[in-house]
Amino acid sequence: MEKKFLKHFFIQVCVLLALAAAVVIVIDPFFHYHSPVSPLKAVVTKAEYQCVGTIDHFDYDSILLGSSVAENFNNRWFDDCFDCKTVKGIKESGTTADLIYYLERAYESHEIENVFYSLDLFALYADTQPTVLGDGMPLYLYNDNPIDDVKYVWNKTVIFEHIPYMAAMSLIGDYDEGMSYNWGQYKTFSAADTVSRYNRLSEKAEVKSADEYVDLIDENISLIEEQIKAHPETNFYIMYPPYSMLWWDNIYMCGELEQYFYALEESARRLSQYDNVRINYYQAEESIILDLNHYMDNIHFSEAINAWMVEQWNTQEYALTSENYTEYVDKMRILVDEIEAYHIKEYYE
Amino acid sequence: MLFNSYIFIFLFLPLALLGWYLLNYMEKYKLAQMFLVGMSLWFYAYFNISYLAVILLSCALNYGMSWLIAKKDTPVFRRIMLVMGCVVNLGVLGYFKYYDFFVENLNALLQTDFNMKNILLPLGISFFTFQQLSFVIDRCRGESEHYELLDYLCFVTFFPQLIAGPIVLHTELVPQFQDKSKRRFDVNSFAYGVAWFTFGLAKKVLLADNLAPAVEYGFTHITGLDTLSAWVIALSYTLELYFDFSGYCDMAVGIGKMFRIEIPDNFNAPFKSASVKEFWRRWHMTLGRFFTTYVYIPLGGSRKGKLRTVVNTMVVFFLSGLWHGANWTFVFWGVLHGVAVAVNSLQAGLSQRMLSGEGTGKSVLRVLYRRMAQIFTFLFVCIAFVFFRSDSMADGIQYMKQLTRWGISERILIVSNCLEIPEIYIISKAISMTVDSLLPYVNLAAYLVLLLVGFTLISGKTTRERLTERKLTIGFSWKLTILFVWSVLSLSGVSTFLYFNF
Repeated sequence: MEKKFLKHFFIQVCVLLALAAAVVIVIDPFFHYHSPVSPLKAVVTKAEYQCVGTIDHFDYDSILLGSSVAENFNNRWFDDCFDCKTVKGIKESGTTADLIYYLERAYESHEIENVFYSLDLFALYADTQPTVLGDGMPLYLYNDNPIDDVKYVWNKTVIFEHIPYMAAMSLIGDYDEGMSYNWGQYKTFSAADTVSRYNRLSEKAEVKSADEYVDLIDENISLIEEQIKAHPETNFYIMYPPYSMLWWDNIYMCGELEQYFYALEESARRLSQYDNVRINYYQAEESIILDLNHYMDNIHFSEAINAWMVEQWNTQEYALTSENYTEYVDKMRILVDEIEAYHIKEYYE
Repeated sequence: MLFNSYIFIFLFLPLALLGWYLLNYMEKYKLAQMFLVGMSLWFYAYFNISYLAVILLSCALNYGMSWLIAKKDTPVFRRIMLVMGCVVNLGVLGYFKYYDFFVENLNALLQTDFNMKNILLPLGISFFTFQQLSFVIDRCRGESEHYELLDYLCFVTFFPQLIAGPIVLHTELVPQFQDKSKRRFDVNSFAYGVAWFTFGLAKKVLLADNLAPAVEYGFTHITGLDTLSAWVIALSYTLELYFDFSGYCDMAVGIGKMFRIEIPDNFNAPFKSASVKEFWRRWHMTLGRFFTTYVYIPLGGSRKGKLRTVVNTMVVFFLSGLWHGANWTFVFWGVLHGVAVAVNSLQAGLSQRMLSGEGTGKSVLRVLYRRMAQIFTFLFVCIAFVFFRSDSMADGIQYMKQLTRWGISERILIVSNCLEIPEIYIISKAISMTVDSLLPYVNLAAYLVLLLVGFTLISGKTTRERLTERKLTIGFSWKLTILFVWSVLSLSGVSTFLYFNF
């Protein structure tokens, strides 16, 4: 009796586990094995789980790299503007090393025509080792080891949540595949919300020396520069996203302004000297950064701003070059002075 | 290595079983034991390889003492070894587990500034230290023989009981390893072992782990809890702890059975207890047995009058609290139980007779009395566990205030939302898309179902009762399959990476 019981138990377990694995492998909501199989759509909502899969297996020739402020870009805006096929390489609070990791990964399997790089100043003094390969990340999706794939194929969250969600989004309604990782649709943007989320220091901190992070900033810029030099066939479109005036006020109050200006000036100087690089500098656009209604907190702006950023590539209005980059830096310095002298006083006395 | 991990279930355990039975089948008995010790050390070192030195040194010291006693067997030398055994074992445990606690309290008391060492606590040190201490004491008392090294190492390192007990005695394990007839594969024992393991795995990953997020939320937002949520979380923690620990012990017993090694039960329906004293005869039984045998009875037990009984009880529970962790919260939890057990011990007359059912009136009254006593005991245990779970005494006291401060809000809905049970995702999503306002109540309903399942299980039969009464039919194999597969699918999850506060 026990022998029969054991035999049945093990066969049943093997069959059910094989079935579970087969369902996950075929539908593959994290695209670990392949791009979505028709009629399923590329339902992309969890960057840490899906980014590497989309980079490895999707059909594209351009990649958009950035942090959370880049998540609300619609891939299609870039496709239309540059006549290309774009995929996102997003890491929330992503460091330069994280984004370069995605880029290197993209180069391993694709020929990349365009890189759209949303360059965050704070990412320039982050650790130069990728955090995407750190503890707590689903590394089983990042490596080629089939053994640890058990964490994916025998995962009830994948089976009970992500597969039904992917199926529902694909088959019901009109899911826009370009809106990968978009969070803007769920948020409200207003000056009142933005101000309420900003904890302004009551006193200005001691001014920190720009030297403190110089080495780290230089190393981070080098990470980008190395890719630009290594891939002259790729066009790099670098954007400095427009943080709100509260963000600038915060670094002013924290005494970190000089460090950020060093990061800005040095990155602009070094990256603008290459023929395959175009840079747009949006941070000094007063109509945006002074109007807090565009934001939900001091850094995150609405989708409309993302759309506007893409549109500006059709003009030369925000182009930063090796000739004019100091003008932009000076303009930004004056603007920060004005923010501290006038604009911030609208909200904080 | 955790029992509830893919590597353990699909690689380590099959490999260990295969090697053990294959070598024994080839009659390479010593080699089989060496293999088992090797596998157990791999199991142990999987968390941190530096732990290996600690356990091996501990084994060497205790086995060495036993060897010395075998060489020089005089009463005086035994007494010296007894003192040495206690000092060495408790010294090692004290250093690794209590050094920082001691320094912290010393600094607070004397306003000094001694440095803490932030020592990494070797896994399971409390368990294997007590296990070996019991062996050394028995050797010094002349109640145990000196074992062969391999038998001894198998007893200490046998992986099912290595890192979280049960605290198995050498008299229970060593004879089983010495019995060659137990080295043959037995399909009956193996089948029950598989069932036992599956029950334990399900308790851990389907019940304890699902309750954990709500408990975690509660104990990190204590001041925000209303009366209802504070009580629900306290009950949830009691269930979580029980299913976690008893699930682990069920898995240990099950794995033992797969190897044809009987490991003692650690729980016997503790929440059916009608007194705290009875609770301790049913909860973490092997720890209670250790303290009774090696502390309570040597101190005089209950043989030296009521006052000594109370003192001895308090000593045992103070030590029991301290054994659980280097924090005053554990000590206070132990003292609370000590007081309750002491009161129970001194109880006489009607209540005790009612509980035991001797010479009392109508049976209905007796049953009613016992039920009431069970409820009060359960509530006492839940409240005491609040301190067990709290990070500090201040948190524990604050939690008590939340429990007793009357006020009801919708906090329980927020607590329910923490559960994130994937199995109800489709229902939740459908409701959120139709009547969004109903969503919190769906989560609350799921939470209540989880608690209901928990209460049904703790008030029902034990794993041993369920399995020994059951025939291993094909129908049961299906139920077990579903439980096992569901548990395996629950070993991994998908986290939400929160990086900024929207």
